[in-house]
Parts: sequence; C-alpha cells; structure tokens
Amino acid sequence: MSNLFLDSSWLIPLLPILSFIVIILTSRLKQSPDIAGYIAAGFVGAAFLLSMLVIVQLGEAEDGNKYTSDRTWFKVGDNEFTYGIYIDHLTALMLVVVGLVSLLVVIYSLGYMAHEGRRRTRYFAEISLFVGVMLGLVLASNFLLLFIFWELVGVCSYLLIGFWYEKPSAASAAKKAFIVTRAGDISFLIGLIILWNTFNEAAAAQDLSAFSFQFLFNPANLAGHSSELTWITLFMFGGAVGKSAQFPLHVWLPDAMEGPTTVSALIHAATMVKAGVYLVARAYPLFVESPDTMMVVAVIGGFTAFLAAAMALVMYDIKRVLAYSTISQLGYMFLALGAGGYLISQDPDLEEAKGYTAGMFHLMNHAFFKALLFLGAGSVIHSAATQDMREMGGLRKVMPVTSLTMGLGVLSIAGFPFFSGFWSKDELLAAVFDSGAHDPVFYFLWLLGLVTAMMTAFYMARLWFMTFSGSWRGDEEHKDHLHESPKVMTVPLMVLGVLAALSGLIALIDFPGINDGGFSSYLNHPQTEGMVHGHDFGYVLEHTFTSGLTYLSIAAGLGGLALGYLFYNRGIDEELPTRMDAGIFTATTGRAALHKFLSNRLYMSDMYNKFGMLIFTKVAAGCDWCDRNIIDGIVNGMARGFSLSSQRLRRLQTGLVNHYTTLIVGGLFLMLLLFRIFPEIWGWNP
Amino acid sequence: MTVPVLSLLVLVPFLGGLITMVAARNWPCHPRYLALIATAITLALSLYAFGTVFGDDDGEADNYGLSLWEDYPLLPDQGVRIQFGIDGLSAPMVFLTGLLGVLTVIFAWDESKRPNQFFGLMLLLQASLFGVFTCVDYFVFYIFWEAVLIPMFFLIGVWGGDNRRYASIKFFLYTFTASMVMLVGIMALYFQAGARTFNMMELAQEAPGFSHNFQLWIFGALFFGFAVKVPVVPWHTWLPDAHVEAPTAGSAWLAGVMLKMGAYGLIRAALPMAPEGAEAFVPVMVILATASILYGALLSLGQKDLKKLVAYASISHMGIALLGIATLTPLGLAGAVFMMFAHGIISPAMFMIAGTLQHRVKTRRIPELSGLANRMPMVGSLWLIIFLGSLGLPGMAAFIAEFTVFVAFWESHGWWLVIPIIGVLFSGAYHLWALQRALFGPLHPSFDEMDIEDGSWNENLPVAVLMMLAVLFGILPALVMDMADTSMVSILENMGVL
Repeated sequence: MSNLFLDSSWLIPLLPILSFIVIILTSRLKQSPDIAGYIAAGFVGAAFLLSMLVIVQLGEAEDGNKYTSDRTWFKVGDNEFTYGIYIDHLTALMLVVVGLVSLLVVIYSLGYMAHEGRRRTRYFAEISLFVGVMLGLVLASNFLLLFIFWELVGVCSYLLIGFWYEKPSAASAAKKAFIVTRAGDISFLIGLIILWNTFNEAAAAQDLSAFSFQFLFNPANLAGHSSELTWITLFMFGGAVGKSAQFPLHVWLPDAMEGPTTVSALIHAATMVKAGVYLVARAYPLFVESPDTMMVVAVIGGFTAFLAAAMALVMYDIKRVLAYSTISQLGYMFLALGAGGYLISQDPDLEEAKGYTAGMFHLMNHAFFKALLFLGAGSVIHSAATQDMREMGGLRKVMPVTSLTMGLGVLSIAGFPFFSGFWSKDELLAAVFDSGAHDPVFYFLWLLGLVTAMMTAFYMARLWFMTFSGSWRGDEEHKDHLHESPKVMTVPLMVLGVLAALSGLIALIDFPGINDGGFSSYLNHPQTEGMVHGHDFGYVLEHTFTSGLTYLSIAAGLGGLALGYLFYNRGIDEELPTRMDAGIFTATTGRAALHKFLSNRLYMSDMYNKFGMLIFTKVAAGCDWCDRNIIDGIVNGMARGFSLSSQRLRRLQTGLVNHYTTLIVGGLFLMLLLFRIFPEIWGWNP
Repeated sequence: MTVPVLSLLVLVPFLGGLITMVAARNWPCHPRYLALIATAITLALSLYAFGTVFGDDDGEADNYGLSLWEDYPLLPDQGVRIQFGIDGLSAPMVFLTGLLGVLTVIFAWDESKRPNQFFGLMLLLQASLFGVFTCVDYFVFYIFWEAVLIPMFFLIGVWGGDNRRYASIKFFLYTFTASMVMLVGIMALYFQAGARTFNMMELAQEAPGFSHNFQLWIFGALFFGFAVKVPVVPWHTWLPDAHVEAPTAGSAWLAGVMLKMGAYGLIRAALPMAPEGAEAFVPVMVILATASILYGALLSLGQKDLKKLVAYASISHMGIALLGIATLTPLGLAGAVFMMFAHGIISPAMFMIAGTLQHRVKTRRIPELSGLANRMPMVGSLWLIIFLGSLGLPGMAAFIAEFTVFVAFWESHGWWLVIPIIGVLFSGAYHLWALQRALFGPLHPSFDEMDIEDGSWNENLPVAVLMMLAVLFGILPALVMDMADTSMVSILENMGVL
C-alpha cells in the first residue's frame, strides 16, 4: 500500500499512449473527431493526476526521496540493457511542468482546432502520443530508454509540425526539424556508445547497467575516467544542442512554426525543446566531472541567448518572435547550468549548485509563461487571421482576456519584479557572475546575459504593443470578425496567467516533493553523498534583494520595457506617432544592413538549405551517375567482353581439316616450348 | 514419434509448388488457395521451429548445438549427408521465410498472369530457402543455394517489368559466378581437411590445422561468394536492376530473405572455417561495410524511382549487418543477425507499398507522386510508419540492430565509428525526403482526374502484419536477441576469438 502510486508510476506515460491507441481504434467512427479531444483530455488529465499523487508519495518515500526500478530488457554476452522508472525531484518537477502544460494545451485545443473537421482525430491522437513519450522521457531510468523516448519525441514533433502536410512549407519544415535534430541525436548516440564501452565492465561487476542512473550517479563509479567523461558529456551535449535548438543547430525551430499554434506551445513550452535542458540536468553528475564541457555549455548557451534575442528584435511574425524568444531563453538555461557546473567542477567542496537550481527554476517558469504567450498568440491568430504583427493592432479592446493574460506573460518573461521570470532570471545571472571568480569569461557571459535581458524586455514589449495597442491596421473587412476566443481557450489562458505571474513565489512556500530540501536531495541522496549539493528555492529569496546585481537586472528589464513602450506604445501607426520613431533602426545604411542581416536569420538557414541541396542533388546525383556508368559499366563491360571474344573464338570452328591440323601442331609446339624447352633453358622445375 | 519438422519445411512447399504448378491447371479451384494452404502449413512449422529454438537454451550438445536435428545419408562414401539443424542464427531466418510465404501469396492474390506457375515458383523458392537456412552440410547447402536462383530467375524473367530479360540474366549470371568462386573454396576445404565430410561443424573443427595462407584464400573465396549475395558495394549492381524489374512478391522475397543468405553464409559457413582468415579480412569488411552504408544511402537519396530507392536502402542496411559481423564480438554478430531479421520484416513491407502504388496510380516515380496522403489514407499511414521504422526509429526493430552494431563497433574499432554512423543521418534524409515529395504536399495535377482507390485488403494486410511485427520485435528484442546471443557466443568460442 505504502508505495501504491510510485509502483504504478509506469502508467503515467502509458495513459497518453493508450489514449493514442484508443483514438486510432475509434477513428473509423463517425463521431470520432468530436470525441477524440475529450478522450485525449481525459487520459492526459489522468496522467497528470497520477503524477501529482506520485509526487506527494515521493515526499514520504524512505529511499532519500527517490524511487527507482530497472529490469533487464535484453542481454547479449556481458552487455545487459535495461528499462525502468527513475523518479526524483528533477523528475517530479518535469512531471508537473509537462503534465500541467500539456493538459492545458489539450483543453485549449478543443476550441482552437474546432474548425479542423475530421483531422481532429489525427491531431488528438498525435498530441496524446507526444505527451506520452515526453512523460516517458522524464521517467526513464537509464540513458538508453531516455534516448528511445528522445527519438520518439522527435518523430511526434515531425508529425505535428507537418500536420497540414499538403502545405509544402509545412512538409519541408517537418523534415527539416527531424533531420537537424537527428544530427544532434547522432552526437548523443556516440556519447552513449562511448559511455557504454567505458563503464560496462564496472557496471556489470555490480550487476547494474552502465546506462542506469543508479550506477552513474555514484561518484565512486565515475572516478578515474575524466578524459572519457569529457568526450561523453560533450557528445551528449551535442544532442541537447539539436533538441533544444541551440546555435548552430537552432535553424529548425523557427520553421517549426508551420505547425498549429497549440503544437508550437507544446513543443516550446513543455516538451521537445525542454528535453535538451533536461538531459543536461539529468546527466549533471557526469557533466560536473568535466569543466571543459561545462564551459562549452555555458558559452553556447550565453551566445545563443544573445543571438536569438537579437533576431527576435526584428521579426514581424508574432510566432517567430516567440520562437526566437524560446531559443534565447533556452540559452539562458544552458548558461546557468554550465556556469553553475563549472563552479562545482572547480570547487568540489562547494555547498550549493546555484546554477543548477536557477536553470531548472527558469525551466519551470519559462514553461508557464511561454505556454501562455503561445496560446495567447494562437488566440490572436484565431481572431486576426494573420500572424504578421504589422497587420494587427488595437486588439486590446476586442480581446480583453487575451491581452491581459498575455500582458502578464510579457511582464514575466521581461523580468518585471515579483513576476516569475524575475526570480529565476535574477538568480541565473547571479550564478553566472559567481563563476566569474574562476574564469573571467563568465563575467563577459554575465554581461551578455544582462544585455539579453534588456533585449528580451524590449522585444516582448514591442510584441505586445504592436498587437494590442493602437488601432487595427489589417484588412478593413476583417475588422468585424475580430472576437475574443471562447471560454475553452480563455480559461487555460487565465490559469497560465496566474501561474506565469506567481510560479516564482514557489520559493516562498513549502511544496512537498518539489522543493522540500530543494533540488539538493536529488543530487544529494545517500548514494551520491559528497558529490554535488543543490539548494532550495527559499535560498533564491534570501539572496535576491541583498545583492546589487539584482538591481542591475531589474533595471535591465524595466529599461527594455520602457524603450518598447516609447517606440511602440501606439503600434506602428503612421497617423498616431509614437514617442520615438522605430524608423531610426533602419535610418543609416549600416543599421539597415544589420537589420537585414538579422531579419534573414544571419543567412544560416539559407546556408544549410544550400548545403542540403548540394548533398541532395549534386552529390547524390553524382553517386547515381557513377554507379550506373562506372561500377555497373565495368560489369556490363565484362559481359560484353565475354560475348565479343566468344564471337571471335567461334570463327575458329571453320570445319576445315587443314585449319585444325595447323592448330594441333601449333599447340603441340607451344606445349613443348613451355614444358620442355623453357625449363631446360632457365632451369625451371615444373 | 518425433515429427521431422525441418525436412517437412522443405518438402511441403516443394510438393505444394509442384502440385500448384502442374496439377492445378485444370482444377476448378484457383491455385492461390493451394498456395495459401501450403504456405500456412509452412508458417506453422516455421513458428514451431522458431519456438523450439527459443525454448531451448543450449541446444542439444551432441548435435553440434543444433535443435531439431535430422540426418540422412546421401552419398555416404564421399561424406555427403542431408543434415538438418537449426539454431539461434537460422531460426529467425526460418521464421522470416515462413512468414513471407503467406504474406506474399496474400499480396499477389489477384495475380492473373499464369497464376499457377507464379504461385508454384514462389513455393519452390520458399522450399530452397528453407533448405539453405537449415542444412549444415556444405554439399546440400550449395545445391539449395543454387536452386534458389532458378525460381527467382523465372519470376523476374516472366512476370517482370519492361527490362526483365536483362535484369534476370544479369541477376542469374552475376550471383552464379560468385557462387562458383565459393564452390572452389568449399572444395578446397573438403580436400584440405581430409576428413571426408561436408558437415560444416566438423570442418570447422579442422580449422586450427589450416595454414594461415590457406585460411586467407579460403576466406577470400567464401567471402566473395557471400558478399555478392549480401550485396556489398562494389558488387551490388545486380540488385537494383533485379528489384526494379521483379514483380512485387519477387522483390519482397529478394529483399526479405534472399539478401540474408549472404550474411547468413558469412556467419555460418565462412567465419568458423577460417578464423585467422576472417581476422585478416576485418579491415576489408569494415571498409566495404562502411562504403555500403554511406554509398548506398547516398544512392538512395538520388533515386527518383521509389522501388530503386528502397533497393539501395537495402544495400545500406545490409552494410550495417556486415559491419556487425566485422566486429567479431557477440554483440556485433547478434546485432547483425537482428539487422538481418529486422530488415527482412521492414523491406518487404516497403516493396509492397511500392507495388501498391504501381497498381493504384500506375507510377512509382517520386516526383510524379505528390499529396497521396489525402487520397490513400490507409496506404499513407502504413507507408509513413514503415519508413520511420526503416530509418531506425526506436520502438521498431531496425533501431535495436543499428544500436547494438554501433556499440559493438566502438568496442572493436573505437573512433572509426564516427564514419559509418553518419549513414544514420543520410538514411533519415532519404526516407523523409521521399515522404515529403511523394506522400505530402499538394496533390499532383495528374491525379486530379484520376479516381484513386486506397489499397485493397490483400495489399494492406501483409504490410500491416509486417508493421506490427516490426513494432513487436522493436519492443521485445529479446525474442530474437537471446537465441542469437547463444549461437553467436558459441560460434565465436569455436573460432577461438572469445
């Protein structure tokens, strides 16, 4: 009885997968499109409910707030691969985030997808599967199982991004997302393979699998393999770079906006892209063994955060602004994880894993406000029937709920004091600053992060003002169609609005399972004693207003918002001039060139496309030519050679006795030469 | 009384094939029913054989570790005997052969051109394939090996496409020439060993007595014979021609089982005879396998004919199997066996999809197929899932094979892994690009007027069954891995590698 819910935790991923199967099986029914959404909502809701129960029970588990089970999956020689469940505080956090956001997205979809007709069946089936495999990913007990779900998440996103598959751009974006992330996945796979071959013997001796967290989270087992661990973690991070859309593999994510907005919300807020951050957090005990990897993580994160924010500044498509914002915020999380981990690797006696806590805290807050922003954008698109912010404006009056809730999201991501994003972003920057004591690079990254915070506030203000303030700039005829979304869409927005505003305050309350003892207890359970110490969210609060850095980050956020207000407070309407003219951004040639450079996404996407087309068309066509003409040419040439020579030889069969006699005598003479005379001359011995 | 399961496996389709071919001509019932009955019986028998090996952990020690042992004299003075036996290497292949029998008969249910010969030849093909996978006597093995060519030659040459004459003759001559080289190797083994036996296990026991040079030549000859069949780049060009021209059922047999003969032969009949030769050939095998993986994938990327794309994909996949063999570790070899099995499930399904398209929309050219997902939802869904399985999606069988082979390859060759593993990216690219062009996008203008029907029951059912099996073995790989593990460990132990 005591572990009833923990023991049935394998049902959590299975319930949404079951929903997928049920929807597929009932897809032939006439009512299927109408009921599919409710089936999905029911199963995802049940999974969320069960995960809450599991988390409550986890607080009471004896085993250091950790639950694990690992069984043999298949075995070859001394290689034993396993499957099972691993639950600790990190898992608990992810279960809350994934479960809650997915549930809200599914409910919202009931309204958002209402006009899609029969396709709703496929939509809800695929989205159920997506949620299921993401839950499986966070519950996996070893890296192989994690990798399997990791790939399945990729496929589900492929299916959902290409939901409107008859649109060539959607079909192409889906493929691009899959192939670009697969480049990262190969890197992840190589990391896993090195991991296996490094640790398999030692793990087999303990009767464990080398992939299992149980084995790897014991620091004694990792000792003496630091150079291998650097390679392992670097390659694993390559997987995270692909999945979490970090530079240079970020190009797939903006294109992924081709899917329905609800899918974007799910991919960007709770599921796919968070998998990369989760991977680094999950493998933290491995990562902190290697300062080099941690440095790489931090630099890529910080650089991506800045670069993506810069691109977000110039986008006009509301979803693309949010897409670049996601990339940028994910960069923040990696920056925090990397900086915090670097600190730990330099100073093993460190009492707290500040960067780790901040990064995960930001992951949670980001899930709520980004889901809110995407669903809000979906509501706007639903009403305005366009994604171009230049053709919006003045929607505040017709869409009060959407504009208000999105406003909360904007304040939160901008780091407005006491909103959720404020707490985690501040903590995150402080963690980076701390690492500067060991390597000045981190001071630079901190500065970059601070500038990024300001840019973030600016582009989010720009987004909100362009959309909701001023007056309608779109099609006059469409003006009458503008409407607030139905309840089934606005209620999830309100829930998320509350969460986006308040989730940072979790630092103040004691929530069993999530923050009692903080994340520390995950990295700090009896087996890993002395390895890494985390600390709880309460710590965030204690340190927030005592440091001058906090005021700097508040200033950055407010400054960005203020600038956004000054430039865009009345939209971009010509007749109602704003306080400052956005035209100054393109006033000189140099600025215009920069603007164009950013608008064109640094031309990286074009470059990749060109490179892809080169392989697709030139190289593949070249191989095809070579295969047909050279390799097969030799084969056919040999065949032709035989048939030609046999035609020549046939002419010897003349039927004339004197020809045959000549040949016989000639042959005899030749044999005599070969077997008698030459051996005599050169002393051969046949 | 024990039932001679393995000889029945050869006899039932053989007799069934003869009856279907000859006697059914004037019978009132359609020959397809006869073929269905015969293949259903063989499927049951092959399942029984598979189950026996699965339940039998160590095999029977007195029969060279083989289950369901049968032994009949053929030319006892020369040491030629008909010896049947099955282990963890052959059991998956036997199951595949039994399975494809029923599925190809169902898929070809509406064949109207000389149906009695068509079904009869397929049964004869199945009988010879069972012989190849169950005989452990070189002499009889070789007879079955060559017998496989004859029905296939006619299937391509009579029921094939426009260029069928060229393709069938090329197929026959190319693989027959390679078999000749193999035969020389077998004869050399027989005479060198001097034990007056063709039994593979007994010859393998003589292997330590062979000189290094002799082993090199033997392994070279056998390797060439088997490599052409796999097929390995650069001896692969017979395959795309044969596939493109063959009728769908023939392609399914070719890709599903016949390509496995090469890899099966390598493990069963080449490695144990010349352990030193095999080790010396490892670099060659690695290079050829890597070339097959990458070059095959690039060729797939460049194809416009769906069937040709799938054919080149087979070369790439079988390259992974060869890579597993080249590791000479239990994990690599078991991975290779699993790849043979997984590919045997997935590639026939892909050929059946291509065949369905040929029937329904009269073309297989990818640029002329576009937006079919809307008009053929059932075929489209199956197609999508099978392609995802083929590109190595976890949860389906091919992933397990790729993963284990790559893990083993790192163990044996370290950083070289980064070259063949790029094939994974290419394979994602050609599968998805084909899907994007053929299945997704707007409907091709030429289909506007056309009344496109979704696949019929007999076209969809076999694909659906194969798809479900691909998922089943992807989730429960131990069903095949356990037995493959046992057999591979024993083969490697006998070779002295372990």
